[in-house]
Amino acid sequence: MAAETAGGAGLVLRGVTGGYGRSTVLHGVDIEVRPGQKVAILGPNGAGKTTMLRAVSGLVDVRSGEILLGGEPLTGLRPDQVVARGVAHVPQGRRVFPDFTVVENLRAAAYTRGGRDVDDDIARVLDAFPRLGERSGIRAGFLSGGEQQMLAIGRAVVQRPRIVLIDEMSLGLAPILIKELYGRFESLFADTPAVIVEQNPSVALEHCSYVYVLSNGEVKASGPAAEFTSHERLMQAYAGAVD
Amino acid sequence: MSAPADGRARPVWARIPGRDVLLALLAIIVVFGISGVLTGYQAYVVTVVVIFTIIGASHTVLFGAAGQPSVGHAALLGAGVYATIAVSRITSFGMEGELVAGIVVGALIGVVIGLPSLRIGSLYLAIATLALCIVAQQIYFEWTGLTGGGGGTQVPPPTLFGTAYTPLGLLYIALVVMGVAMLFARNLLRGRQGRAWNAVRTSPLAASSLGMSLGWQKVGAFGVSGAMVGCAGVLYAHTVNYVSPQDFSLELSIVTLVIAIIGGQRYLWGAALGAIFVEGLPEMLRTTGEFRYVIYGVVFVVIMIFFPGGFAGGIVALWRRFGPGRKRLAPAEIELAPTATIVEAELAQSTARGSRPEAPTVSGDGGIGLSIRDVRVAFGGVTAVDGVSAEIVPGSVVGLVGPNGAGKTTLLNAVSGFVGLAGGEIAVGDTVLRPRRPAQRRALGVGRTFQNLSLHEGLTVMDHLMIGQHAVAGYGSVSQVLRLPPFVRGERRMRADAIETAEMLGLADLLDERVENLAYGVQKRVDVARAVVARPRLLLLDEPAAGLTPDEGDDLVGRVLVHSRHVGATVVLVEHNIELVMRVTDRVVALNFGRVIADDVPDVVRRQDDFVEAYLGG
Amino acid sequence: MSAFLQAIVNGLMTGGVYALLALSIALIFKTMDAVNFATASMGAFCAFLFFQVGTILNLGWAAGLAVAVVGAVLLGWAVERGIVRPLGSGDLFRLVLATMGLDIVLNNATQIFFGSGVQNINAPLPSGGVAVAGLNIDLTRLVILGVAVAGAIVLGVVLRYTNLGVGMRAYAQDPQAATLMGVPARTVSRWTWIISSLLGLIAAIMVASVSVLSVGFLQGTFISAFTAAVLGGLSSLPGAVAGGFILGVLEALSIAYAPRAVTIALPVLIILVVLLIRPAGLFGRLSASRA
Repeated sequence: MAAETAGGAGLVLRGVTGGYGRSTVLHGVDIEVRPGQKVAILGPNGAGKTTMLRAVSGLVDVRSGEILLGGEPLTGLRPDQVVARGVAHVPQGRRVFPDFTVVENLRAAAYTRGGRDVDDDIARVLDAFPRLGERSGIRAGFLSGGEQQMLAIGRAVVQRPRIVLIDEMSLGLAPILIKELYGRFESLFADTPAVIVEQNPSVALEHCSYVYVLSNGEVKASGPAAEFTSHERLMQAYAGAVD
Repeated sequence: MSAPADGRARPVWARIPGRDVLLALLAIIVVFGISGVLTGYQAYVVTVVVIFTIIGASHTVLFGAAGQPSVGHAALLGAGVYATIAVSRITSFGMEGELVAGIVVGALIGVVIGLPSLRIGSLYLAIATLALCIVAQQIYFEWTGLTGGGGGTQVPPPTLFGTAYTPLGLLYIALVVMGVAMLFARNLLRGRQGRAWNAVRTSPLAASSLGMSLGWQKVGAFGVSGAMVGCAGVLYAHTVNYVSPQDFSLELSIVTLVIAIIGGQRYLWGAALGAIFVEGLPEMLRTTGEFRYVIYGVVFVVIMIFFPGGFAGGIVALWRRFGPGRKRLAPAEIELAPTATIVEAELAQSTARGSRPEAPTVSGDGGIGLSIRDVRVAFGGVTAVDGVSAEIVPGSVVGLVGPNGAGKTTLLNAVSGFVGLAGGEIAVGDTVLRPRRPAQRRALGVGRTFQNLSLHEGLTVMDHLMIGQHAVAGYGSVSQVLRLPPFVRGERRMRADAIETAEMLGLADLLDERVENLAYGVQKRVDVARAVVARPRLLLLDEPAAGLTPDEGDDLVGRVLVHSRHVGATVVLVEHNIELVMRVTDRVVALNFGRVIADDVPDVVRRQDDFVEAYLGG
Repeated sequence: MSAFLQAIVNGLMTGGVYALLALSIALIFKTMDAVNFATASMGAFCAFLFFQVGTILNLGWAAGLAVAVVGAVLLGWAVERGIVRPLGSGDLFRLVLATMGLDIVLNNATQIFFGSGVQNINAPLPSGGVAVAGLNIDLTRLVILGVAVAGAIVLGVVLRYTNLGVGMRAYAQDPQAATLMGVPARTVSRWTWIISSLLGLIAAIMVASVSVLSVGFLQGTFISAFTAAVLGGLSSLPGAVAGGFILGVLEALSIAYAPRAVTIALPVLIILVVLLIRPAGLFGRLSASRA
């Protein structure tokens, strides 16, 4: 893959409508992520946040609208082609390969970019997450939830993406661990743009510069993160979402 | 299968009761008439088609309805054949005795083959049937006294009550036997038993929460299937005259399955089409020679890829599209039905109730209480529910809330019996629930809905409402097969209840629609309708409003609560829409990290700091 | 005692072929969650190509092998492209049933192309026997064992050390996560069928070398190999190899010591016992994943 300039590639969703089978989950979603920017997608359960990420990755049929990465269309590509264009998607529930060791999991992430420098990247991940380093030979299925999340992030590092999509990083994890993970995530992807889907708004707000609130498959509010830091404003956005 | 729902807006012929039976009778009479001019050989070919129709139909029951493929049917056919030979050698009975023996032996062996399904899944069971087929063939080879071993043995000529029959006479007998077998299968498939098989096939999760035992349903289907093949075996023995263990090979098993699938495994009459195509046509054309099996194989593979419904499925699809009397509905877009005003009134009342600080008053006859005592659930090393206790009084509406991953659905699954407990106990009323026995819950009056809509694909809304009443049908399989008064009464009552519930939930116009054609919001209602139609005394709702627009969500939850109060049920509502929960519940239990962080009336909980923190993220 | 050891040695030599064909079955099951009932007829068809080109057309074994390998690759590719992919990933029974249809087609196509006669094969393998420590070792079978072991090792190396192999193993554990790592589902599926077809070809050539070449000649071996795969847990490749050898030895022992009926029914008894007592197989471990 071509070496990317610092800042990665911007992502644009324009009027994206799509869903599974007969159900339509996304109704004309417009989102823009600029190079280098961290964007949070907030919203209640069932709002379509995960579906939106899956649409970008080619896992959901997009019926209308378009998705552009660095100005080039992703719409209609197969998931592996989207990965080859430079999108790393850390799915909900981590989805590490349970029978692979930590290192094998990281190596599998280099499928598209080939073998060069993979060992450097793996070392970088194991450095960033010392707990993974200690367990590098252990099968991933035996890791704790937090360690699996570290590994899932580590796989994204090895992919050397132009943009990262990460789904519910904090799901089911203790607050202290969430803090640590977000810190590492920021340093590992300092210049790479990221779309961070979260159910836990205060954490996401701390680490993102821009926010979209999604509900019922539509963008209900958006703006700089600073505008959403008060509980009232957020509640209002959510309530606008739920009522 | 696919039982018709109520018969509104259908052509005249469709309203004739038992029209399929009449049609089948007509077909049999026509064959009878034609049979008079058949040569002996032609009569033989038709008889073979009839026999394989029965065997194909046995797959309709086992695979088409209950979803269990079997490649052991050659063994069952052999059992019927050798039972025939044994009866004719040992006793003085003719086919009257042989048929009884064939049916009994077939059913028994079928049950034995099916028994492993109490322990293993359908794929492994299919493998086990393969193994059994091979074992049985070896047994037939070795049991030379009965079977003649590799050399085979002669079958005595057919007699019935002392009269000997020619090949043509045998064809008449075979037609009668087929008619009875098909009627038996049809009666089983239309009604409680057939619905249960279809439910188990299409959604094991929902089926078990409705009180069906997945394993025993399959064992039963194996027994029925075995009985049908056993009686086909009697006819087979007399038709071919000379049988050898070579006949009962794995290939024969596969051919019978191929017949059912090419014909269309969801329809009994599809078996006849399959049998005509595989066994009849080549004999009549007699031109295809050695390419015959290649053609079968290719047709079979093409059908698997492009027409999974087989001939019958294709014909039904064409009929649905082009036939008379069908107005085609677009994927139904539901409107808020006129009862919305009633619901609003009820919701207003609920709000008033919810803000009352004292324990909720009991309306209707109250429902049944739920006690959760120090319950723990662990997956691997992760403790998803960590010592939760809650006392839910009869007749109350309790909200269960918390962020994603807090353990709400896991707790609900523990109450439903889908996951085991690592500690504590759960009681409904005075009965302590046994973990991992979902079917036990329904008997105690527990109903539930599913977050991810475990609907039964291919079945209509009416089917779902009838499946929901599986545990309260009030009749058994004997009544059903013979269409005795308990069956007729039970069906009539269930149908009435189904229509009433459908009206309550705004589904009355969609009863004949298959659920996969419905919009998501409507599917959600069907899921709820299936849970409430049998009037549960404790109703567990798993995110009923998720994926709906706010109006739809309010409407659905409102309707369910009206219904529950109407029938007297306790309600546990798991829901992310906090505003909705606060509005309609008497009490709110909030979870985070598998523990209870708040448990009080909504107005108190909503002001509690750690609740707000958890909800918005700490 | 020496009869016992002889039975073990014979069993190991038969077991190699079972292991190879069991690998072919397990590889498909691991990736596709389906049993390929056409395993035997696919291998047999290609073995016919090998022997027909090699002996009857008199083009030499190398030409025969080349034709057979190309045939096996094309057949694996065609099955994936023509049957597996159009069927999609919805209902796994449909794929299993479709392979039964394919089995019918291939068996009869073999008969139409190559005739229904039984041919004795003069295989290009060393013959004769050597005595080692009082045991009689058949050279042909020894070579077959060697080929089988080599085949299993090559497969292991491909799966462990090539990019494609790692992708295939990842895909088998979690198709969607593998896709998100950039592993193309189609490539995995295509190569799974091609490799499985090649394994079937090798097993078929080996079996024909020590028996005869006729339509359906591999069916018996298929039942044994299938048993071996079930014994190993169906989706475990090392399990399939171990299962093959264990079954080979058990069969040889029962030939030596047990009544004929036991030997005939052995595979089936093993399948039933394993399914009822330990459906995950002797070596199948439950996946390490958390619920």
